[in-house]
Amino acid sequence: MKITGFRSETYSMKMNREVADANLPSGVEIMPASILFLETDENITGISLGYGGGVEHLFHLIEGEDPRDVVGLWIKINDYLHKAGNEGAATLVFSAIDMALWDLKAKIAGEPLWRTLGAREGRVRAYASGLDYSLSDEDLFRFYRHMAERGVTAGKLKVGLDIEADMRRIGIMQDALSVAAAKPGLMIDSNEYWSPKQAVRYISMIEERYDLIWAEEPARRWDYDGLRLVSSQVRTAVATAENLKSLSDVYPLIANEAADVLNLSSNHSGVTGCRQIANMAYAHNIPVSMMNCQANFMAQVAAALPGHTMMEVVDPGREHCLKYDNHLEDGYIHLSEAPGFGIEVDETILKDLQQNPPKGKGAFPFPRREGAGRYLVPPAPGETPWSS
Amino acid sequence: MKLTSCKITPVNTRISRIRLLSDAGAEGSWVIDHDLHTMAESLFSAALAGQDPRATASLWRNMLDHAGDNLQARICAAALDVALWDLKSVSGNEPLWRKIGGARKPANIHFSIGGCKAGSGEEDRRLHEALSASGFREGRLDSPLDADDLALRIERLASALAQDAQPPALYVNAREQGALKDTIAAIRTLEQRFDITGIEAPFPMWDASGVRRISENIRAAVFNDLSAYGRERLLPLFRAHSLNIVQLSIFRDGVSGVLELADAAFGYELPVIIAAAPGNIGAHFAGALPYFMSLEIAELPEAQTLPSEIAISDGWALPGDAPGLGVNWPQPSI
Ligand SMILES: [Mg+2]
Repeated sequence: MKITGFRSETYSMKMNREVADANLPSGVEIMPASILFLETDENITGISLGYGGGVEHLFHLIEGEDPRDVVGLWIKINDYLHKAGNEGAATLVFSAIDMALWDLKAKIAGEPLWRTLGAREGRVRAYASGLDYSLSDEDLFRFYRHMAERGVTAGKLKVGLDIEADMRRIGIMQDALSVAAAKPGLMIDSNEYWSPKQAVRYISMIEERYDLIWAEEPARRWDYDGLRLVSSQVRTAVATAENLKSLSDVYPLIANEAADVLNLSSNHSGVTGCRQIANMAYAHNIPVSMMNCQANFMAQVAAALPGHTMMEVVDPGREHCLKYDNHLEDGYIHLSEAPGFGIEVDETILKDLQQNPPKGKGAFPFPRREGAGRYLVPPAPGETPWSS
Repeated sequence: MKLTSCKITPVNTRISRIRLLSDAGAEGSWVIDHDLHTMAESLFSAALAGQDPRATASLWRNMLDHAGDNLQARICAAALDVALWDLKSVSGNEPLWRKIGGARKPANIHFSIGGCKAGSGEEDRRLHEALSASGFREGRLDSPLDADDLALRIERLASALAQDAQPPALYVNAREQGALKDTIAAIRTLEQRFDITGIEAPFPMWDASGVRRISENIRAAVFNDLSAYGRERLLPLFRAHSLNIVQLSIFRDGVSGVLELADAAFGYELPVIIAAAPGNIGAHFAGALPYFMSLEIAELPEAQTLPSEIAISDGWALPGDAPGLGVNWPQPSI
């Protein structure tokens, strides 16, 4: 089996609702996406989802190679990126290639990726995450109640700009989830808007009313001193790492005992990179949690990782041209026996999205908001449905 | 696919073959000490029977939960894990190196002469064989640091290897129980004469800060012996930055644990040495571990307990294309 070619498709889509955080509280509804198809000489195609244009810059490293040697190819690509660095766009392409190779490896074995990776069952506990800064209080309640009705017992709220509103909305999330659990799991995510000391103040205030599982990115992604400071001063666990790129980025956080939970993503240098981080975290007793993604495809990986707790489910409607075979029920993402990631692409819908790009509110990637790390700039009247 | 039974049959007077059988016909094998038969069988019944053998990651943790702190149970879990990976690879008709995602890559190797006395016929013979047979460029010997014949033995090992490489890589397994400052002094004295690549266990592994102090005071890299295995015993050494190389063994961590811990070591950019195993099957790891350094070879190719498809030449070990571990199992002895 040899890799013979690739096809990279980019498109944009309009989600069913806006997603937002403290850095862009007004939210976006248009999302860019890309799909990588890796072709082989045996008519099996590997598919991965990501934001990767520029595959041609790395493709020569895998052309003619056997996709089953994916970890060896990961090492080859990582070594190739040595001088320029495994960063930015290079990481996205690296990740997309590695994921498509794993999709191929599992498809060649005729099994779902969770089985290739050694999991006993294709089942991952889920938590609800609204990316909900621009949802009205009513829509916020509706989102978490909908998730609770599918058995989800924990939720993560976007916070950061208005501590009174944050408190109120944590209460709304808790109420909505309370039909699924007597004591719903509560988490917050301030997306690096706070300084470490702001985080200590605000998290401490929230802790007076709510018991939090974790506070996400309460300091900058690389700031192991700041993250460690927050963790040492609050009861809540500090979660971070979603914006890092690889195990080598995560290393300082682990070595300096700065993170209590590590958020893993498909952009952590692929399945291989993700598993490396999880394995190192596991050796250090640090739980890991997979980030949200289209069609929840990374649940395939989460199912097999040691120390994985629960995976973020956002479900804003990003699957327009994707056919997938997993569902959320009883609080778990249930994966099927479909080979690989279990994702297929509807080419007709993809073409249509490319030819008729949808219009709407769109500003990916999120910029950093005024005041971040220094002072709060609450949402202006009209900036969110709930600010006045 | 489900695991149906575990059959254990003698290979020689010391070790037996574990065979894991599945309802799909595929089977996987590895070895275990005679003494551990019963324990391996009961661990199989408790943790593996009826399970899908492809669920290696889940089953590894399941077995460790059963093994707890019991070292013998741990060794059984590791042996069963290796057999599971053999089964998983064989059922996919792939060699282990490919099943774990690695490329087919020659493994850098070193020859371990163990603790033979200097000048003994045995050591002379082994050194000569190592030299002539396979082109070893790296060697390891076992010795207390205060042994009178240590310098002589290192010299002989170095000269045995020197024909193939300049300078040869030398590892000393110190198994040291001496006082910290005496140990540092002894290693420094050796280092005035020899360029030593690594010292194994220069201090008890349970003293993470002591091991770090040794490392900080000598030139050679410090690595763990097999008393430090698994995350439970390696974590204190990682946290204290005690080690400069991590040694992993399939006899403690199986294939699953070696893969996991090699990633943890990679986070620290610590090179990995794979301890010796029959058939030299550790060569399968060379293309899949991100920071693989050297595989220990304890048996010469022509005198192997378990002949395998792994070919040794010019100081490198290259795994073949046979499915699974590539072990050529001898006919069962009667
Ligand atoms: Mg986040």
